[in-house]
Amino acid sequence: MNPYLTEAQRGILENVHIGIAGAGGLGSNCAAHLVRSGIRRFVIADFDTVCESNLNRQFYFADQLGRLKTEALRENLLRINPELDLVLFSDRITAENAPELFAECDMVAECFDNGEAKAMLIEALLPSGKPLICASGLAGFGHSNSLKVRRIGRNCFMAGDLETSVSPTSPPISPRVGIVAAMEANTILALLLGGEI
Amino acid sequence: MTISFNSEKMPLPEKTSLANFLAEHSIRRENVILEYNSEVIPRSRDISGLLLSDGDEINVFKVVAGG
Repeated sequence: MNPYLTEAQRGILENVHIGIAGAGGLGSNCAAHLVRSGIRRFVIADFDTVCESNLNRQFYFADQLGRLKTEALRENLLRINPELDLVLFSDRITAENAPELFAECDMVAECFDNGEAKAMLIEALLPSGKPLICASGLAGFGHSNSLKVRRIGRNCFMAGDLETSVSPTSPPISPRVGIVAAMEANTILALLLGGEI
Repeated sequence: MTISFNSEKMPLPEKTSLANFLAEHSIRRENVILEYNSEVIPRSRDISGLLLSDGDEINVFKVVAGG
């Protein structure tokens, strides 16, 4: 799929299994980056459907309104690479079901929008020891240089500015959400292929 | 004693508790993920009796909404 990587690098990416927890602005865009990079196997989890307010930043299209995000995302990712191996989960992720849901995954990208749900997932999955790539602080626009990826403890990686919460004056908008989604994908590639995060 | 807080070394009086340390830094556990010596401490766990020791590592990070 990715002609710019070595055979060894392609082999690593083809065999890895990535969890995408939440298929909104972060998850849909992060997954698209990873598919374009050559990753084929995913567990994608989201209970929600595509609505009009999602189209300002999420990897969906106007003719997909009302569809389950998991199914719409599968359709869009398969248009990039028809050879994907996707497991969809279209129910709510909880602290109880998360470890089993992502048991087969080598790494999980935390891609929720709700702050409490993010904290729940981090607490539920960190004890597994597998890398958890998270996002916190990505609302608004500008301030590109405040966005960073930090390693926290053994197996948590956090992309964002850790400050800017979504609010009426600081909405989620495509570029900044997209940058952080790309940072999550980029961190996953660095963890898999080696080099600095 | 010296502990590490978000990767910065910090001197502390002996017998400082983790709960007091968080309170002194105005850190409320409901807003953060708390990691103590490479272990995530769930918010449900009572940490009132936990005394810090030399070399302990505390990492705290904010989780804010958006995605």
